[in-house]
Amino acid sequence: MQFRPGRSLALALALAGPAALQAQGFGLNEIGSCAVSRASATTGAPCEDASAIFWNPAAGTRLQKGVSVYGGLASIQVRGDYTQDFNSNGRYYRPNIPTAFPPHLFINWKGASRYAAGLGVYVPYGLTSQWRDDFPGRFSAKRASIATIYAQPNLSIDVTPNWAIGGGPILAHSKVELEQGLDLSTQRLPTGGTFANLGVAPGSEFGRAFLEGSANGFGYHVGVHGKIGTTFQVGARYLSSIKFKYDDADARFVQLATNLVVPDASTGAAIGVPAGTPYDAFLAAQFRTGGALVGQKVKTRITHPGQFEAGLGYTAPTGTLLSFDYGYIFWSKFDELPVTFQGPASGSSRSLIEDYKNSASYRFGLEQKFPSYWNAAVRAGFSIVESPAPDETVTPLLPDMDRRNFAFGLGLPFGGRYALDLGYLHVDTQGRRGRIGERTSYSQTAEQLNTGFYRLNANIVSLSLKASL
Amino acid sequence: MNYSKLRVGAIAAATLTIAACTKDDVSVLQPTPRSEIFHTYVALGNSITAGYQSSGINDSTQKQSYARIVAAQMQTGYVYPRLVGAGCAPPVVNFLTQARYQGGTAATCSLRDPSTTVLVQNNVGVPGATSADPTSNRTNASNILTQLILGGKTQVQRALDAQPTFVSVWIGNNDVLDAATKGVTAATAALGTPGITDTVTFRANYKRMMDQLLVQPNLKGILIGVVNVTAIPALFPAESLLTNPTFRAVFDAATGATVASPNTVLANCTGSRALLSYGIIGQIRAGTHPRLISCVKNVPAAPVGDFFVLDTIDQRIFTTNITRYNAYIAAKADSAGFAYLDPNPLLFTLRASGAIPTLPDFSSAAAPFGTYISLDGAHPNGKTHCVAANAIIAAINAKYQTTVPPAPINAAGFCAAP
Repeated sequence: MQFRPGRSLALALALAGPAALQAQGFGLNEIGSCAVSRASATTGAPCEDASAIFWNPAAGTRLQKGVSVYGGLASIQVRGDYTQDFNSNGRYYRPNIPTAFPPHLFINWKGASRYAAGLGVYVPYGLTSQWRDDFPGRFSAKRASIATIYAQPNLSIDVTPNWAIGGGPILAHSKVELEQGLDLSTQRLPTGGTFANLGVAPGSEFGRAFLEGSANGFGYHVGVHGKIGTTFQVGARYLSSIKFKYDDADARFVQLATNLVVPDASTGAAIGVPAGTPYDAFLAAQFRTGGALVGQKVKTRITHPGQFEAGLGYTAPTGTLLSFDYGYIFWSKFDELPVTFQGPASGSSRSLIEDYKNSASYRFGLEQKFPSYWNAAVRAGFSIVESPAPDETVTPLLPDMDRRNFAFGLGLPFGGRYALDLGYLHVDTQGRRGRIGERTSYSQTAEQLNTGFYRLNANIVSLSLKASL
Repeated sequence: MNYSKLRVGAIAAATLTIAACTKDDVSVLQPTPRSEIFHTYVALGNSITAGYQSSGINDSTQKQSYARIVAAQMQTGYVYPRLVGAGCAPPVVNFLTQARYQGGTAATCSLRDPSTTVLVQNNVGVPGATSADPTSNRTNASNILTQLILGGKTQVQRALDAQPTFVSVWIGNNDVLDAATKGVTAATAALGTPGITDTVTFRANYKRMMDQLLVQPNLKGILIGVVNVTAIPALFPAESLLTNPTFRAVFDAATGATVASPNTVLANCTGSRALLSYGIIGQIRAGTHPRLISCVKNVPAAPVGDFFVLDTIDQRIFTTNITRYNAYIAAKADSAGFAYLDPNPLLFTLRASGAIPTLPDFSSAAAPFGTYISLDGAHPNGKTHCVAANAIIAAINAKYQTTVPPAPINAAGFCAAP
């Protein structure tokens, strides 16, 4: 029996792309506990620590002289669920996403001159989506993991007493892992159509696909920061787009038992087996040499879109810092993902439709220091983040949706040179209708594609240690 | 100091107040059933449940299934395994010519609409299924529709995929129908029939099905008894060929009898109360049965008087078995807490009213078996499905104190399209 791999396989080998990009779509900006506490309204008025290398590359000169070190990690716990429409099955599914702990480390040196130099190592894009074995969307993504690490050498210069510029190159490394179910119902029959035409139910999982790949990318990050009088400050930054070429990703496949049986001779004749043959017996050939589902290479290319962010800070006479940032991400470049198979499945090479839109975010933060209490700081923030995903691209990998972030935190100096920052951010959403299958044509509307409702929220706790040496 | 403390409190309070205003808005598309017990309904069964009519099945006949009408009245979801194109096989549309829908043949089989291949399939009935088939897709009755409707699973497996809250089961007719229409009670290789399923086997099959279904927690449902197949219009009194010249003339014409090659009906049919099967017409035309009708087994010679003829002893055997089947089904319904419906009073009411005629009209292209039975003489058409659906609804309401309204019936006698 011969059949051509269908949509499931195509997706299985393609998801390095969506994982990476949608991870950014759900970027939580957990870089630095002070920034987390202020809901990331920290480009116009950066935190007084070395994480400024990320939030505004020009602000390195705003830090105190000497070496500033800022490092720590965040705990990200994403929760959510998916409820299918009644006619799909009306059931409720929860993911089992492990808690992630992305680290961050920044070092900045400022001498007596108007220059400052530093290095930032951070994880701007990270995602683990993981669903249980019964989740009907596991054929899009059972588990997906993306980790992209940026290393950014940075130089900032005071071009005038009040204005600074800065920036540096970015060396990025991205690693992707994906596990995905293979649905027999979507596989193509030699006589045309799919096994669904023979009544094979969706969710008839006959195998699992595993993908692992990595890629390097290069970009840059620049910023400008200015002080206006003693109470206002402004800033902006631009993070360039970075292209990742996953040219050498590995795909492997494992067969799973369906326990389906060919019931009659005419069906058996149509697919070349006798009546009574277990489906698993003839599917096994696809996982052996000569079959389509053998280990092979796959290529895909992804461009992480550029980001622009600008903001304003105001320090009130009481010492309260109020800040507002506007962010804009150029997601519209992420419209399709080319997928090129390098093995027996080469006939299934294709482009996946993502169709993302540019998106904006609005961030508000405040900080109050208490000189009478060792200069301890209390911070809070609120932000609104528009989703770049159109209604047609709300998927198991990342059911992205508009978000509201609520944050607060503390800064606790100790020992004269050190401070401990603690931040908490809650990501809240209203939920959004989404799909679990693939979109194969631009003519397919959200109403046609979406078969259920996703809910999503996240809790982030960030802990950073600041040292001034 | 107090000022600073107040400020901290204000920040926290503001944040928490905004957070507390957040509300989830679940927007899942789902109907509101008339009772929670109807949240997910699945119909198991055979050709009647599937919507088979006139020796075929396609989307039009599937839509007339009683299961669809019941689901609509329950206001619950209903996805059936829609066949595309002409059908599998396309139904006969002209009794006289035996022409099938869209020019198809008995071998025509268009496949299934993949958009209806979903996890929750609310009708898993398969034409030809016997009591053994709900728990096996590898029986003598398995066919291409077993594949298209169940996709390699059994009826019970496919039903449980839906996690049903309510099921209807109408299975068992094919344990007697094939034998009845071939005029025998026992397995007969020459006719390719397994005969009547013995009651021990039937009970074992039925028990296995119920045991597997009842794995689903809190399952409610209705079990429907086996039709007394001796009352279907495909079986008619043989004596009428002697007493009703008009009917005899139509019968002779249908069998292709001529002056030179006439049919002979033996006098032993007089007062015999034997039933002749419509199936004998094709056999006579094909020359595989003599042009001789006898109402006594193997008189004058086998198989005359045996094949395609049910004498009163045969009829009693059928009735006895069906009665035993139905007693068991009723008992299983009782033990499972399900409703039970005996379909035979409904059938006999239709016969008594003339809606189902005693004698077929073999000269009619559109309604040889009356206006309630399709062109194959055995399967109900849309009108009967409508009546059956309302009887099922009444039985459900009586058992569960629900208030599912009966389906409205239009002037033509069909249920308004759900």
